[in-house]
Amino acid sequence: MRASATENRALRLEERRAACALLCILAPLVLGAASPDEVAPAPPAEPLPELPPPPEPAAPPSAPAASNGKPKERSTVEMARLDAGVMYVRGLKMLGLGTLARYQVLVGFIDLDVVRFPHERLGFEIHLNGGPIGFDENAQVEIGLSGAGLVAPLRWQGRAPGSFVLGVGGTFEYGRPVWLEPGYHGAPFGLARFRIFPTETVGLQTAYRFVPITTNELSLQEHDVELGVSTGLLQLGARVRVDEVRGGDPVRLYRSIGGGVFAGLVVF
Amino acid sequence: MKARACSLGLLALAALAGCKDEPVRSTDVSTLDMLFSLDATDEGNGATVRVRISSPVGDLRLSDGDTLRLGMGGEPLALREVEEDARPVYLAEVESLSGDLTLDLSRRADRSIVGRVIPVPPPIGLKAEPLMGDSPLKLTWNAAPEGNHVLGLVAFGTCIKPLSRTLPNDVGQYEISQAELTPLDPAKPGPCPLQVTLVRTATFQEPIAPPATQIGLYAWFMVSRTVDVSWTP
Repeated sequence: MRASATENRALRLEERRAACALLCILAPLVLGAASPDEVAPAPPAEPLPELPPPPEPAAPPSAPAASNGKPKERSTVEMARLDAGVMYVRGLKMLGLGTLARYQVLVGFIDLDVVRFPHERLGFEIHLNGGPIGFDENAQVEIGLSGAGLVAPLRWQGRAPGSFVLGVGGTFEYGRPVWLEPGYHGAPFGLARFRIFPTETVGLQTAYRFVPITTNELSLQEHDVELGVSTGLLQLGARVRVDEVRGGDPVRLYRSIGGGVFAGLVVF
Repeated sequence: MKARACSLGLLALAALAGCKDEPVRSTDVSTLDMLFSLDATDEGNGATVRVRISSPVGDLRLSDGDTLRLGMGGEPLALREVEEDARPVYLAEVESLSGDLTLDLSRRADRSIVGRVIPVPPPIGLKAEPLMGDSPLKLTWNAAPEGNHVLGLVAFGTCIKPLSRTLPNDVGQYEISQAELTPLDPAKPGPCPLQVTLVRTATFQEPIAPPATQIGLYAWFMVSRTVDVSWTP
């Protein structure tokens, strides 16, 4: 039993080193209580004089944790992620007081997410994103900052641990929809996130975010869907964005649809 | 198999062609964003009224039930669509500009414009007395002192330098002394037959309809009359 505890501790230390690489970026934001995952199976605090020789060095974080035969513990709800990607957006924009114009643009983005659950079921997240709208001399900038409170109504362990998380929060955005002038606004939003680890090395995560905005003249709805596959620290995924704006004279629906891919480093 | 491959290829090409931006349809453009450019000319031998409609996305063609109608003096004008410089233009040809124009645009899914009146400069009715002896060139026409237009006078002749001037007041009469008719060749002074043209030019611009504040209706008129003037010593 003690040998097992030592191995677990060594694995945990290795994992923490990897997590720190991302989390230290947002240290001021994530300071606070440690997650239940981290504190629940705490190693024994007393000295261990009769410990056997230390185990073999753990594999690098990017290597499958199963290589040493022990399941790597991953949080089903928490996350620290830094990713970048590109998205092609095409749709209708409003010109003048109510004229339809077709447009298409390539949007780049960098995202930084931190999701923490100080309590078993309650947590929060902070999200930062930014990037260029277009890659030419007329490029604009898209920026977003949001925070949300989270609740995890479903959270399970077992062979395929996972969770289903809901959240509500507020966001400040600039440059979205990409054609809207002025394109900055603050708004509430809701999100849902599903995560599962079907194997010891692979994680799947999908998320949906909905931002409803109503101004004096326009009604905006932003929909974001994300699907990511991760192994080790690497996450690859795809995103779909739908922006719908109603308004103008005559009242029309201006819909933009975007799709793209991203890659990043993630720690669960 | 080859036939199927060709069919698939054609379908793919058709799909790609469908991805191209479609031409501007009037139904894509808000009435409040339309700019109606109307120009009308009446030189005495027939008048022409042209209407071109542009928008933030370019010149447009009325489509899907959007209909433009023009009237003058309560009578509808026959409009036809023609291409000028690869742009659709709505053209009406009439005998003369004898009254104010009315513009109607009926739209099923947007604001319609009903009975928009565009004032037209009044007819000129230019007359000139023959030049005899030392008498000045006397011109008379229908005065329109209140009109918001510019009045120009041009005199041509084979023996004089073209004379062109803007008249400050549209009071219906004007005189040009013979001294002002500068010989084209001092060695060969007049007399010679003259042609005098009087031109009223007016512009009109306003938002097409509230709540638009930008100019949505721009009209330009040129009404002119030319008379022959005999000149005897």
